[in-house]
This record gives sequence, structure tokens and C-alpha cells, in this order.
Amino acid sequence: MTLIQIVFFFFSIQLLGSALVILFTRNVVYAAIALMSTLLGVAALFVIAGSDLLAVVQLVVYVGGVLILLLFGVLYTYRDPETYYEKKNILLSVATVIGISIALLFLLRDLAFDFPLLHASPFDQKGITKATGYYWITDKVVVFEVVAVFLLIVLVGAGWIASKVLEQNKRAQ
Amino acid sequence: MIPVDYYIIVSILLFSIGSAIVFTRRNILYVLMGIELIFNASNINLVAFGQFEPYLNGQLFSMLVITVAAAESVVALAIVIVLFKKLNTIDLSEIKNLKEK
Repeated sequence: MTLIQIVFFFFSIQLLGSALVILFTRNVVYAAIALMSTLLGVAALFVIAGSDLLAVVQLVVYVGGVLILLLFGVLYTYRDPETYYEKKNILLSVATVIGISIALLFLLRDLAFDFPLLHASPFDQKGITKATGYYWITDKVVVFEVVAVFLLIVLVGAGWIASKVLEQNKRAQ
Repeated sequence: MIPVDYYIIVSILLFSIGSAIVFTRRNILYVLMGIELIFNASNINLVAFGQFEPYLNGQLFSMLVITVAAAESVVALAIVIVLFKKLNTIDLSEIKNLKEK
């Protein structure tokens, strides 16, 4: 077992363990912290698969943006500690996990996994991240334009949804 | 290097855990976290198979998925805030109608 495989298994176990913590914990703040651990593990897997740029994007967007947003939601919807606790149904959760994984593995069993085993990542050469950035922002700029328009629509829509309710509340008072 | 099969297995497990969270939890915030886990499972697969492709299309599509997930999270949080203001709960089993009373 080579070193890179040990690193891979370490991060896989970390991210799957954190995901199980989200499944089984009863405190939503713990779940948010475990989600951060999961996202960091996924970023590490991206680095092992040779896409450093995507790992950085994962850190910035997920850990810096989505997770903070979720924590804001947790704090905003705080009522009292009792509402954070819900009835555990461990058996149902475990059955769902095992059932779906076995079903997917069964579906994938017939596929021939004869992908070539890469001995070095094709993206390991020097300056590949810079080249990737140039390639994306020149040849593939359409994708980024679509995403930009989409994000603008989402921002305006989310602000509109939230502000309408705030206005109604102000009028009601 | 790591065989693609290992990535597929990790991604299957992550997907099933995320689905279990979506199916069994009743708090909206947990459900959102489960959806994020499902997005991440798909991203792992895209990046793992993108290793074989010299034009980086897998990683580009994964980038698209990440931004769409961020947008989804923003809209979902706005809806959660509205629901909490109107109904004073974030329990999915207590939210029964979308129409204003």
C-alpha cells in the first residue's frame, strides 16, 4: 500500500465518519461542524484526483459560503434547545444507508471497471493550475457567463422573497 | 495512483448517507445538509472520471455543480427564514400547506 493510498483512505474515512455524525447527531450545530469536516475531506479527495483549482473553489464556496449560511440559518431559527432535539430513528437510518448502497453497488456490478490505472495524475505537471485557469476563462467562458447570470437571478430572487415578508411584517405591526 | 473504483465506492457511500439524512430527518436544516452531501458525492465522481479526460470538462462541470449548489442553498435559506417567520417552526412534519392562511 503506497503512501497516496493511505492518505486517500484516511480522508475517505474522515469524510464518511463526519457524514455519519450528521446522520446520527441530535444537535444541529454539531451537524454543521461535521459538515465542515466532510467538505474538507471532499476537497482533499479533489487534490488527490489532481484538481487543485477545484479544491480551492470547494473551500471558498462551501466552507466559506454555504456553511456560514447554514450556521446563520441555525442561529436565526433558534427557538429553544428542545426544538433541536428530535426523535432518533437509528434503525431506519442504518437500513436506508445499507439499502441504497447495496442497490447502487448491485446496479454497478455489471459495469466493466476496466479503466486504466493511472500511474501519475495527468494534471500533476508544473503550472497546470494556471493553465487550467487560463483555459477556463478563455475557451470555456460561456459556462461562467451562464453561472453569473444564474447567480444574479438567484440573489435578486432570494432578496425579494425575504424582503416581501419583512415588509408584510412591518405593515402588520 | 488511486483506482477509479475506490472513488466510486466512497461516492456511493456518501450518496447513501446523504439520502438517508434527506429521508429520515425532519429538521429542514438537516435536509439541506443531506442535499449538500449528495452534491458532493456527484462531484467526487465527476472529478475522478475527469482524470482520464485531457480537456478538463469533468472539473468544469463540477464547478458548475458547486455554484448551483451554492445558489440552491441561498434560496433554501431564504425560504427557511420566511417559513420560520410565518409558521414559527422548521419541522417538516408540521409544515403542511404553502398557502397563506
